[in-house]
Amino acid sequence: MQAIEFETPLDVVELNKDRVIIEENQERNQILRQWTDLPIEMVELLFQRLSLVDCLRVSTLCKAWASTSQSVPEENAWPWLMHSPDVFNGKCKFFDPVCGKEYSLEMDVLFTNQQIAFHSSRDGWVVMSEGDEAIYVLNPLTKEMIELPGLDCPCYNCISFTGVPTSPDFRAFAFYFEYDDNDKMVKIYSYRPGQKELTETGQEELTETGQEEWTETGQDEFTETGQEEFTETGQEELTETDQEEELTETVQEEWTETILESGIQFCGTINNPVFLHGEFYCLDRRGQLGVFNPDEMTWRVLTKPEPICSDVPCYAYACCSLVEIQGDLIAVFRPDTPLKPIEVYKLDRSKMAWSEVDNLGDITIFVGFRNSIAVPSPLKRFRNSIYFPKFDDREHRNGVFYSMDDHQYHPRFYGVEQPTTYVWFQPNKLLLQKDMDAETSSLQDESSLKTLN
Amino acid sequence: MARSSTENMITLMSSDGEEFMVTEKVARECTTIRNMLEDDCVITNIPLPNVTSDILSMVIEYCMEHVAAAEKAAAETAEKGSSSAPAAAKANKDLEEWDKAFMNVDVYTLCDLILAANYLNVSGLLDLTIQTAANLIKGKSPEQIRKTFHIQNDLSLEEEEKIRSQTPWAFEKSE
Repeated sequence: MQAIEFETPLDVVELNKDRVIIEENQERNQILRQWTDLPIEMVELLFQRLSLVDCLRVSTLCKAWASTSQSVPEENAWPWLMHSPDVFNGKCKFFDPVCGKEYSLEMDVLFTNQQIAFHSSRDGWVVMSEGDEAIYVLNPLTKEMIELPGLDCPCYNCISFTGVPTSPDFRAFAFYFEYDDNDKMVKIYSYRPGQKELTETGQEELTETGQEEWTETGQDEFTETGQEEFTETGQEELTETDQEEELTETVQEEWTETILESGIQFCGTINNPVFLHGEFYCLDRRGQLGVFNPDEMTWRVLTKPEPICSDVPCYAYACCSLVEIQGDLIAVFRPDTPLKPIEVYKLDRSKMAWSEVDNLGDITIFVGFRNSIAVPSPLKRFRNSIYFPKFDDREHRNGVFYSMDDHQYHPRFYGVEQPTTYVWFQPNKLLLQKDMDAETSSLQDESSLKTLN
Repeated sequence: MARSSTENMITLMSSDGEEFMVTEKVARECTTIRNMLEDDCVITNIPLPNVTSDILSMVIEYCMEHVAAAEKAAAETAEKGSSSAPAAAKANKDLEEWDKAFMNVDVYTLCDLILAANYLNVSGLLDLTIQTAANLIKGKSPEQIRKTFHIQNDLSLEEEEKIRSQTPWAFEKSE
């Protein structure tokens, strides 16, 4: 049964005033209470058609509905554009392109005199850098924030992570694709939080010693030790640290640099890798896929799918996006002119080949410079379209999108506003429940584990 | 609506004792009744203690309109061999307009219709009513929603503040 959707809400109250005010009627009074007596199943049906914000507002209406915030469906949390942090008042804007609404939210971390950049987001968490070194993972809605050790390497292409940032299985990875003659090397900076086991020294002291440092096992060392040894440096370093810092035997708070080579040229981009089936998939500028396995710390460039364009990098550095939806990988290449169509390819896993997509169907893709997200279309009018981190402000704030139906930008390509700092961010309803057990969410991740190849 | 004399008639009885005679085809639009009929094919009188006469008459009106639309479409298909796409699109549009006009009701009736559509399991009507309710909520502040649906705020200030403090951004005014 297809959903009926009216563009203009029917204002039934206005139209039928005479039928509303029958308060003396006992029978009617009984019915009066029934909105709040709606069974939870009905409220859940209602929530499927409301935005996250509307759902949360409904759950504050009365006692009977106070518990309904637990029923807000996950898919209502469609991507918002988190943008334009204002370091003077510590506020950041959130634009919901589906509702055409903008929210602003204050976060202490935003009060800074350094430059802020957003890098990626996953499960409601955003990776943000401040100045040249500081890196934070923050949940804008719960205001939880985790400060990672500084990473003194401004040249990484992208940062992503696995696990829940508040849990011990959290791991962060910064990717740097080397642009040497052959582009065959990838540098991975990895970080995992120290094991927070309590030793005799007690927790307080553990934090005070503040081992919040990246391990800089620089290029020089690499040349000396050679690659094979280098990959293990992380482990060795750890042992050394343990010896040096007696108080913090169980804490490892540092980034480890690993250099990996695949023997195949890979022209990495700035767009975020996709974490799928336990591995990070990176798209290069010709349409090749590189896969980083965080558990085994291995990197391989797949020979299949074959590059879409066999020439020297044919797609612009900042205009290649890789997204995942329902286990499928989709590559989007955006030309910088409205005269050329956007190219979309889906990975056909049976042939391990890209096949061009003419119609996305009930999928909406939100693309950006650093991160892109694909979701099931929240509403009919959003299907088969690609949203940009841009607004049209002529009447009221509207998102700018490219329709795969007519291959046109709506409302237009030029003359629209684009924030300089932004990230597509998908509010994760589950993470709003602070008592939510971190294990449950990692279990959900694992339940979809399959091997891609 | 013309009723063929050969068709079975079913009597539906509302909670306040009013009787409605409908064709079996119309009654079958309600999955709950369809299941009853399939379990017991001789049943002709069905009491519906959860639905008042005014609401039941509206549910029947909805079902009749949708049965008629489906019959019309089927007849056209049979006549021409295949239904023409523009004609089908127009029929859909007409039915959508009818639905929209049908939803021109007050919020209490809307609530009763949701409950009746759920109880009788009329999926199209449930979709329609839920969507209408959702449209009334969209983009409104909690105060505006309470006003629209005549909901009494029985939460204490502390309770309300506690719920809001979990997600303060949802309650800040959009700019």
